[in-house]
Amino acid sequence: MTAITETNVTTQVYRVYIKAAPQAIWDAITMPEWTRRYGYGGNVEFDMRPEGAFRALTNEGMRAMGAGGRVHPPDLRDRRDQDCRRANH
Amino acid sequence: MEKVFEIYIRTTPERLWEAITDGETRSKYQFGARITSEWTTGSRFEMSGPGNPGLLGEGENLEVDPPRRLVQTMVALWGDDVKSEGTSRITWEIEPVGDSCKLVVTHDQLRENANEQLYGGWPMILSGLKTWLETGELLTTPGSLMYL
Repeated sequence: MTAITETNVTTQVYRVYIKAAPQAIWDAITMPEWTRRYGYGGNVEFDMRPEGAFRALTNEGMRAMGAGGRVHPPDLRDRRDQDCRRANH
Repeated sequence: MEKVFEIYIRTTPERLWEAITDGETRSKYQFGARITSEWTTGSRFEMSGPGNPGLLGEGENLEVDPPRRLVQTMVALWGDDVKSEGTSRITWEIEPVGDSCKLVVTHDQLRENANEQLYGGWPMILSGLKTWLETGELLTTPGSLMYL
């Protein structure tokens, strides 16, 4: 196991209250038919298992500007792993 | 200490300004608290709750520039633990973005390690404001109706 010392790391926390059931919010985060409708409007691909892959795909506007095919935000993947474990119980 | 909160709301600057400054509307998303003021530069404002004796807060409107910018001082009065915090400043900035508005609320001139009650309610308040303007519905989060 590798010990990682993080220095000068800042954490931003965003909170929002949504009039919806937890399952509806979960679906809106993980299902591409929802993620296309907000944020940057890109599809997502979730392999819904612990350690499964997460991919946020570029939208048309990004591709028009020459952005690459896929991004892999590691922080999102970490968070997703925790949430998946919880969801699997 | 400074706390900044941003939210995008699908509404017009005029409707957003009215929702911020109209006491009846304000009570729908700010824990049931009503706010009354003449909304002129240098005027005072008061926050009160029907179920609460005395004022919940008060302050001065330093800048009133509808429907773009509102700067207020505020003294929290809803409990002895916040009264001792003294005066802080709240700046509301409305910027049209497409068919929506960006709302930035900056709560500053807070002392270091200020009581979280002073600024901790903003995410719930702004979420309730967004929900009300976009759907006409109320958020019924635990704290949303505490002063009714």
